[in-house]
Amino acid sequence: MLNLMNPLLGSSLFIPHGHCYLWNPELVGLHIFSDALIALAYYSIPLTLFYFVHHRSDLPFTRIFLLFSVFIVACGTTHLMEIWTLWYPTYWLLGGVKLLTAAVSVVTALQLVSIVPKALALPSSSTLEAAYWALKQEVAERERITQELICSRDLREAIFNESADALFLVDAQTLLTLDCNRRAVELFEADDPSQLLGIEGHMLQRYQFSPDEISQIVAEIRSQGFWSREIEYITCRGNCFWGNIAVKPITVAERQINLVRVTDISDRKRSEANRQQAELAMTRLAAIVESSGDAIIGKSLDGVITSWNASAERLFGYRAEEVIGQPIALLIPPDCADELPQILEQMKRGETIERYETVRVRKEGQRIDVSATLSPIKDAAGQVIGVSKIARDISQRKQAEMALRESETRFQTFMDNSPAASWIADAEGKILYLSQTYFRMFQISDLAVGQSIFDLFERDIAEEFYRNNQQVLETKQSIAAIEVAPRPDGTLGKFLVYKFPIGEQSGQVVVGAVAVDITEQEQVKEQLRSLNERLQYLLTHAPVAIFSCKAEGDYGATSMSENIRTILGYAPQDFWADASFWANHIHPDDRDRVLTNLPHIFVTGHHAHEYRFLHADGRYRWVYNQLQLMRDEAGHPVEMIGYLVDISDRKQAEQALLEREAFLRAIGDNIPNGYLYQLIREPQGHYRYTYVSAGLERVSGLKPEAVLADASLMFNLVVPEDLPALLQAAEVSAQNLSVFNVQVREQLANGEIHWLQLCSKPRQLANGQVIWDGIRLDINDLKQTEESLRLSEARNLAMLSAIPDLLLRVRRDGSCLDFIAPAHSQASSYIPIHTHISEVLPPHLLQHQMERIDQALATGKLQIWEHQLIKNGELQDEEIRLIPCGADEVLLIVRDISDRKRTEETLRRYERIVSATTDAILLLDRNYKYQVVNQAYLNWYGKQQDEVIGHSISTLLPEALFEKEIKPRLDLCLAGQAIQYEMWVNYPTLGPQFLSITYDPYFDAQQTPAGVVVSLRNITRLKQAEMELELQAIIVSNIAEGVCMVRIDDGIIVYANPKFERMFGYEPGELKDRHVSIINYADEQASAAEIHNEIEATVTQQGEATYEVHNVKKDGTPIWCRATTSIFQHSEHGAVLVAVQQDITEQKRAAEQIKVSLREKEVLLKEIHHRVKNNLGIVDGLLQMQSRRSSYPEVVATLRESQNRIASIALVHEKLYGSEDLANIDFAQYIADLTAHLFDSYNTHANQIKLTTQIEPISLDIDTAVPCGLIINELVSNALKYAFNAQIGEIQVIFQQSSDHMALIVRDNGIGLPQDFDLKQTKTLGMTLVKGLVKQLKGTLDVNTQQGTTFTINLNRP
Amino acid sequence: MEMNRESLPSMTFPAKPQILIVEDDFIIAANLQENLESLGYNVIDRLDSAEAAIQQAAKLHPDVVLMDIRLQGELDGIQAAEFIWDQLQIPLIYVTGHSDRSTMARARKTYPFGYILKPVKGPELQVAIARAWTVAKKLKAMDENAWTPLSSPSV
Repeated sequence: MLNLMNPLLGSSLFIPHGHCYLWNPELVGLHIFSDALIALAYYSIPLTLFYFVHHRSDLPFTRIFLLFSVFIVACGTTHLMEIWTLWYPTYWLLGGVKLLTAAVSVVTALQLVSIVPKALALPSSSTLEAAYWALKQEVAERERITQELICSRDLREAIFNESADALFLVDAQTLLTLDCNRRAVELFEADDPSQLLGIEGHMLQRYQFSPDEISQIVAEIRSQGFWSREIEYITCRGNCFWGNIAVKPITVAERQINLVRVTDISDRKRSEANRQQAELAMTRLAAIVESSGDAIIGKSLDGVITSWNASAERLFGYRAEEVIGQPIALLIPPDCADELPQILEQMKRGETIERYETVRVRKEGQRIDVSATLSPIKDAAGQVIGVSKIARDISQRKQAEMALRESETRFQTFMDNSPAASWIADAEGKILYLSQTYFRMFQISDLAVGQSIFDLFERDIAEEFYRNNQQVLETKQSIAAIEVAPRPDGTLGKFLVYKFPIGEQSGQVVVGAVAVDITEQEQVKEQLRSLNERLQYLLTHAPVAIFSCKAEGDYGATSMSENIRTILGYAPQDFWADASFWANHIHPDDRDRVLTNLPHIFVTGHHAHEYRFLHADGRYRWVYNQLQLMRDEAGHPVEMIGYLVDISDRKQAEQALLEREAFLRAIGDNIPNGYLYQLIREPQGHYRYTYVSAGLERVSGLKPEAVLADASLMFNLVVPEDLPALLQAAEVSAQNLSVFNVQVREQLANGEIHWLQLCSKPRQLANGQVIWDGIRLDINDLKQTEESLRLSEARNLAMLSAIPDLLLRVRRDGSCLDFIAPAHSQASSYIPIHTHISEVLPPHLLQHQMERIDQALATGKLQIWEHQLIKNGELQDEEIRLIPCGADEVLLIVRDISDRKRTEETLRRYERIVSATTDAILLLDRNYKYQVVNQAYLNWYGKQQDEVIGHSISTLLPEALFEKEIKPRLDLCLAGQAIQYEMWVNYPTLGPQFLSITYDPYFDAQQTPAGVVVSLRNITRLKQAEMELELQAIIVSNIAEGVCMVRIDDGIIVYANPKFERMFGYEPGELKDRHVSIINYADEQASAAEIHNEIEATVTQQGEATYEVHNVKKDGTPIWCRATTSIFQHSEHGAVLVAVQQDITEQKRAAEQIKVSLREKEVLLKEIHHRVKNNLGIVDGLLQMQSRRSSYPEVVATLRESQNRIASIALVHEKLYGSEDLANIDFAQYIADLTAHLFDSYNTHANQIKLTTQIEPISLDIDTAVPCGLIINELVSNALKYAFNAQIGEIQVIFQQSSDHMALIVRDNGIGLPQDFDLKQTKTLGMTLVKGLVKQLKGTLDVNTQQGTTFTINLNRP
Repeated sequence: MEMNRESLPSMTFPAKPQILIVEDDFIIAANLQENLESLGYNVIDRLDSAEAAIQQAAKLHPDVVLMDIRLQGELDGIQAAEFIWDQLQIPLIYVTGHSDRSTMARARKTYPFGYILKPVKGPELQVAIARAWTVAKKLKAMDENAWTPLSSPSV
């Protein structure tokens, strides 16, 4: 160790430094003295520096001072070492110290260099002094500002307190009031501000807001920064007032506070109401003026119009804008011009003019009568400032008045000038009115009005008047009477009086009367009556009875002159007493004629007839009547008048004449085989017999009387062929008046035909009638002989004609000699009108025919050939037979064989058809042998014709088939029966084929079945299609869906499958032909037909549609169906809708049930959450009660903690049952509520501890929400309890989220956690819960105790 | 405001208002009673049905009735409230756990003296009772002036 130290100390090697000074005590002393002094000084400097640095804490560059100190100490040490080395040569140590010093000095120097610029920047002391002053001044300024601020704060506080409006500060989160001003206390009549603090503002309203409304308002404040409304409030003492509330969020010291201003607006509300009422009154008045039926005009005192309402426009025709500002004078006609100044004068005096009637002029110049009320308009001071005029059009009233007056005058004039006297009397007979005529007629002065009739007339006269008056009054009907009254000349006159009731307006009924003097007329009537009597006498005694009778019925007499007694022995009254008397006494033979002919009178107006009438002595007399029809003015028959004369004598003379005629008639009647007749041809052209003798009946079988009545009977007998000639002859005879001689045939009733000869000579009468007097004779025998001759000739000819051939005799050169045409044919087409056959035949046939003629003549042999030619445009086949007839002549027999040819052709065509058809056709004989087979049959079997014909059908068919199926049928058919059947047959060429087979018996000429015609038709493809269809039909009818087919044209169901019918509850086939709407469910919205139409429209448009439709079963049960409908073109029904329907009623019902059940479950869930919350509420209540009873603060605190924990869980349930889905809660709202509750619980005033929340909108389920809630509860409670000693601070709750991560941060700026706090070790319940719950949530917990405490919990998103 | 104050009869809030509680849960009712008594009110009775409430209200004439909406028995709180106000003119405050819309609307349609949501807090209770009492006074005064009783909805 010493050895190691040696090199350092090296005392043995070097000599002490004192040797250098030669141990000169002065020199050594000097060095020791100065080195010691330097060292002392060097050591003292760092001390001072330290002291300095220590006391100048603001000193910059302290490090340099330290370095400097080290450097100086080092330097001092070197100097001490210098002293040491004087005696001890430890130069290595000295060098080491110097090296250290050097190192320090170099570092210091380097530091100094780097510091110099900064040191230079340091203010110098003068600058510092200036700065000091400035600072001092600033301090003073600050102090002043602080003073001012205090002032201003006081001022603001004063403003706040003394504001005319009530002001509240409301916590934006909890909505509880934090502060309020004095005016608020005053306005709400609170005893002190505390009464208004810590409450929800809307509690003061008359009608509180619901939670919904509050959240809406909060949202509005957030979004718009302002919210205001007029609200009715109730003060603490219960008074109501209207306030205008305005809310504005403000931020004070980073805290969100709502500034709420409530202004008392009761006065304004009241005045508003008053103003509204006044306005309403004004509006109402204006409306009255505008809508008044009277014209309302305002005008100024100088007569200028100032207002003009709608009725004024109507009345005067001017529009308001036309007249306002114009002088009123333009309404006044010139003749009334002086009215205006007068009116205005009166107005100025303040007077009112009422119902002033005058005349005014309309715009178009028409004058109108108006009634006006004018009144002055006064201002508030009572000064007249204008005139209001209410005018009404009274033109109509005036006109009515005028009309009434005119009518009155007219009536008066009329009455006074009427020749009839008129008057009115009342029920007592008092005269109310008398016309001028009355005065004249009765010489009574008009003073009589008011007097009674009993005063004016003598008693019995007046009484009659009175009686008549009373009758009128009682019956209320007018009467006509003849009254007797004194005339001016003193005589009593007769007066025709009409009396009638007049209903007075008073309700009283009086009698009006009009009277005419008819005294003279009555005298004339009397004269007429005596004249009539004289005439009557004359009538009675003349031999002619005069009568009148009805123009209807049995023409019963209405009058009969007296002399009828002498003529017919009856009294006149016998005739009129019995209306049928006359008709019943006519001779029965004459009665019908008379009564039938009499109505002619209605056409001609007069009539005469003769008839036999039963005399009272029992014998008939011939009488003659002449009658004249009387008509009324309208032309209707009224009666008939006439006279009656006995003409029995004249009739007897006539009878004698008739007897003579009968004698002559007998002669006529006895002519054999004939009869006489007289025939008249009327000028109009028709015939009638006037006489036919009795021979007619013998000859023609007709009764003469019948023929006389109807000439046509005679003409009808004539056979139709002869009739025209007969009539023709008659016309000629009539025309020329020539002898008429004609033979005609008549067919009698028994069918015989007779020949008659008619012979007569005509003569013409002056009236244009032609009369033939003639005779008819039966000449039948004569005629018959003639006829039989003619018949035999005709028969021969007919026999030849009956030959269907044309017979021609032709010469060798081709010229025709003679012909006979067939009778039944159209002769003209066969008659060779030509003389040479060349004119009939075309050249090539002619040549051939000529050759044949030559041949026949040469050989003498019959020639037969056929040819074809066109005759009359038709193709015709002819067979010609040519027979020689002598040396030069031939007979040509031409037969038309067109029909035969056609038949042949038809047969050939059948044959072709049979061979060409694809059906196999064959004919078998009775032995089942093939007679005929067609090609198709051969093809099926792949055989040749000769392999088949003549062989039995059994050779081609399997034996079993033939024996079992074919033979029996063939036998049946051979018995005459047609058979049809279908079967499968296996063909060598075609394989199995389905055939439709018919057997028809083949009848020979004897109509016996000689064979069987077999027709085989291959219907395999048809069968296959049919089977396919059947299959489809089976599918359709058996599928699970209902299928129906609806014709689009008329909506009729044409098909419904069984499932469809079952689905709708119908019997099979019942739905067919019904309208489809019977299955559509009709409700209020749509009828069944409309539903169907809609479906049809949709399907038609889109081709196919799938939809759900409400249908109805037969029994009325509605069912839901899902249907797919498409359009299909049906061969039979045209366009049809094919609907496939599935009953989904059950599905629908099930879905509905699920929905209902879900709703029930929701309600249940809500109820459960509600109950949980309530139960937790009960637990809370229990704890609260427990805590009230405890006197130990620790127990109370513990219970409160428990209460808060329960509240945090209860709040989750409350939020849950209020949430949309009952599963997730709005956690932001939850935190706000929870923290508000905690603040409340710990009695923390928001003034003291500020709560800031930054919570992102997040919803959590119950499993996360409860633990999170508890964690927040613990952390916030912890902060409230322990973090703030000074009672002032801030708690921050932050809840952030990202897509998969959430962070909950609870931070306070309080005093921080205790020093010995260790998260892992802590055993308090709160922290244990927090740690445990974080673990449960699989999260992490961090605690930061820098600046208060921050708990950060990171969670994965659930 | 001034006019309103003049038009109303002067009234004084009773020194110790008499409260009737209608609540069918015993614990909640008992807790509410204690709460009220600690605030200086006098609870004169606690009842658990609307029918009993009507009877007792008629007998005891409390100043204010606190009424739960869901109650045992035939009637619910709203029906009882109608009767108690219409017939007895006693103001009523609903104390309810229900904050669902339809119940609230129904409650408010009767006589909206106020409602308090459970859990009940002291200050809220105080304000609501004072308010209900004063509103009722005013309505009665109006009614005497032949004014049709409240039927208009809030705000």
